[in-house]
Amino acid sequence: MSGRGRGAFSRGRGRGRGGGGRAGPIIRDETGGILTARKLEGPPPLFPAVETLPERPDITQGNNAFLVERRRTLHTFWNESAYYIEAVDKDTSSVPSDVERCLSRSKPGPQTKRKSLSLYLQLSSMFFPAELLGNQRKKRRENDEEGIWNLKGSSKSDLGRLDKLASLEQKVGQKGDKEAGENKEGEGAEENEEDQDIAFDDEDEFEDDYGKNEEFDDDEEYDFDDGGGDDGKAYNSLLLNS
Amino acid sequence: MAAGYAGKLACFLIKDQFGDLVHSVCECLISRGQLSLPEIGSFTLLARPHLASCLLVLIQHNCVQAFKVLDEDNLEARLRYTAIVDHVVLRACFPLFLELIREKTGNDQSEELALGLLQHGRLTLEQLIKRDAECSNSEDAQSQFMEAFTNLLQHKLVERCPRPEAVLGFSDNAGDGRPAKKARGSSKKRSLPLNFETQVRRVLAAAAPMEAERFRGPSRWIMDEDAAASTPSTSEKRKHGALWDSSSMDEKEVLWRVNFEECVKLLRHKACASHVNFSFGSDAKTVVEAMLEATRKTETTVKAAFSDALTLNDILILRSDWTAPVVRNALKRMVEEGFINSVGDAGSHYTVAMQKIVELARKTEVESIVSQRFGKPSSRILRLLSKKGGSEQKAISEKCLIPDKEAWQLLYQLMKERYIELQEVPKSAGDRAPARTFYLWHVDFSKLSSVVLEDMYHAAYNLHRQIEHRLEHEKEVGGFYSPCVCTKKVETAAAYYTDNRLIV
Repeated sequence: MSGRGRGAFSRGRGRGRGGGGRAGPIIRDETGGILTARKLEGPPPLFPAVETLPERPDITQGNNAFLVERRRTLHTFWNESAYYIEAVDKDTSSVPSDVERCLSRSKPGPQTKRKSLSLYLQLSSMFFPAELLGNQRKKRRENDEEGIWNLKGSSKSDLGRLDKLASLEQKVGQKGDKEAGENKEGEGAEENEEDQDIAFDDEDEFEDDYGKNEEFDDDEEYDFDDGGGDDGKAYNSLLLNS
Repeated sequence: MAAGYAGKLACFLIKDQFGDLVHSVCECLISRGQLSLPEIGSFTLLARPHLASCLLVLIQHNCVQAFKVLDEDNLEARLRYTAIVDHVVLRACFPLFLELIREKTGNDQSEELALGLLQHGRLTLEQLIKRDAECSNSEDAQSQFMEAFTNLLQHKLVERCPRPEAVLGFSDNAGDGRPAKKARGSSKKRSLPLNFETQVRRVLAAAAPMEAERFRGPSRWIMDEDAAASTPSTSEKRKHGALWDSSSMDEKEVLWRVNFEECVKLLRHKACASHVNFSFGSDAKTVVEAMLEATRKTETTVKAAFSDALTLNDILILRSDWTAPVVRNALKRMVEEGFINSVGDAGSHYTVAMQKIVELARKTEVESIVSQRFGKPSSRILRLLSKKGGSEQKAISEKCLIPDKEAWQLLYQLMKERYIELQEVPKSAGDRAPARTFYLWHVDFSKLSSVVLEDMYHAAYNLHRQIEHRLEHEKEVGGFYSPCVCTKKVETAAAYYTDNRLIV
C-alpha cells in the first residue's frame, strides 16, 4: 500500500515534472491548424498605420470652393455675432480688462464689442416662451439699430485684412504729415488722442511692449539751465549773509 | 436621449458656433432628454440670465422647442424644452442648402435672403427688409427683394416658424417617459415611455402651423396683387408702399425661416437622380429629375415612397428638347428594373419609386464603403449575403472564391464591426452543441444602415475635432484661418453624410 501510495505520489510528482516540458494546451482553429500565440514586442502602437487611405480631396474640384467660402462666412458670422454668449469673468479685478492676452487674440472676446441680443431677437411672448423673457425686454433706441445687419467687416478674407492694415497705415502716415505741419510744438497728449481715434486692428504698433516707450523722452523734465541764474542767486545770498 | 455620435456631433457644432454656455445647455438637453427650466439650471449650474439667453439663442436657431403636456384634467403642466438633434446636425449642411437654393431659384438675391435667414435663424419680414436695405446698394432693391422672397415662397424654401409653445394632449403621452397617471379602476399596467425621436416628432407636429398657413405669403402682398389686377397704375405705388409701411401685421408678427424639410427633400431627389444616372445613364437621369421636380410640391412627407403619377404626355411636356422615343425607351428600362412603376389603366401613368431607388443606392454605397475599408473580397461576401440570405462559412468561401482561412477572418471582422450577424440553428431542438449546430451568416440591411449612419456621424465628429485641434496649433500664425485639407475633408464629410444620410 505504501508502495502504491508512494507510486501514486511519485506519479503525481512525476506528472508534474514530466509535464513541465510542454508549453500548455494546444488550440486549433476550425480547419485543424494549430494556433500559436504571437510574441509581443512591446506595447501596441498608439496610432497604428492605416493601410488603405482614401484619395486626398481636391478643394478646387466642382463647387467645393463655394461651399468652403459659405461655411467660413457663416462660421465667422456666428462667432462674432450677439448669438455667441460668453460669461463675463468677474474675478479679474487684479488684471485690467484692457490687457490683451495671446490666447484671447484668436477668440472673439469682449474686445470685439458684440451687439446686444435684444437687437436681433423679437422679445415677445408671441415668439418665445414668457418665462425666458424676464428682464430681457429693454427699450431699443433707434440709434442702436443702425448698422446691425451689415456685419461684413469680419467676413472678408484674410488677404482682405492685410489690405485693410495697409490702408490704415497709409492713413496714419498722412495724418502724421499733417500733424508735423500744424503742431511743431509737439503736444504729446494731442498726438496720443489722435492715435487712439485711428481704428487700428488687433496689431496696434503703439500699444505693445515695443511701442510703450516709443515717445518717452528722458530729458523732458530736466531744464539744464547753465545760465547760472540760480547759482548767481545763491552766490548773492551767500554774500548777503556774510 | 439621442443616440451616440449624432448627439456628440450636435453638441460640438453648437459649441463651435455659439460658445461654451450655449453648448452646456444643449448638451444637457440632448443627454438628459426633455427638461424644464429649473431642471436645466440645476444640471448646468448657470445663472438665470445666462440660462435664459442660451435658450433664447437655441430657440431662435430652431435647435430647441418648448412644449407643455396637458394632464388628465386638461390642466397645463410645467413648460419643458426638447433639443431637436436633426436640426442641429443639419447646421453643418447649410452651405449645401445655399447651393441648392441658388440652383433652384437661379437668383442671387434669393440666396442672399436665405443666407440672412440661416445666419439669424428666424427673422420677420421687417427685419429682412432692413437687412436687405443695409446690405444692398441697388436702386431697385425693393422690387428685387419682393421678387426674391416670392421666389423662395413659391419653391417652399421658406416657411412660417412654429408656435413658441406647443401643447400636447394627455393621450399623446409625449412627456419625458414618466408613466401616465393611473385612472381609478384602470389596469395596473403602465404605458411604456415613447421613443425619444417619436416624442420630438410629436412635439414638432404639434408646434407646426397648418399646412395652408405655413407657406402663405404676407397678407398685404396678396391684397396688393389683387389690386394690381384691377388698377395697374395705382397698385404699383401701393405695392412699393407696402414694403416700407411696417404697419402690416404680417411683416412684424410673423417669423420666417428656411424650410429644412424642403432642402432635405431636394437632396433626396438629387441622390435618386444620381443613382439613376449610375444605373441607366444621363437620359434616364433627366427624365427622373423632371418628373420629381414636377411632382415635388405634392409630396407631403420628406421620405415619401412614391412620387405623384404622371402620364406620358405630361412627361413629354416637361422638356422641350426631348423626343418621344428616347423618353419611352428610358421609361421602359426603368419600369423593368422597378425604378418607376406604371400604374392606372393599362399602365398609362408613371410614378417614381423613390423608396426603392434609395434602398438600392444604400446597398451600393454600403458595398463601396465595405470595399474601401475591408477589401473587395469582403464586398463580395456582403453582396452574396444580401442576395442569398443565411449561408454557412464554407458555402461563402466557395461562392466568393476566397480561401477558408481568409473567409473566416473577413467574416469575423465584419461581425466585429456589426455589419453582419451570426445565427445559430441547432440541428435538433434543445441541442446546441457546436458539432450539431449550423452557424449561418446573414445581413439585416435596416440594422446595417443605422450602423453605417452612426459610423458617418463618428467620422464627421472626428473630422470636426481634428480641424479644431489643428486651428489651435495654427493660432500662432497671426490668427489666420488656414485652409488646410481638413477643411475640405469636413466639407466632403458633410456633403457625403448628408447625401448618404438620406440614402442610409
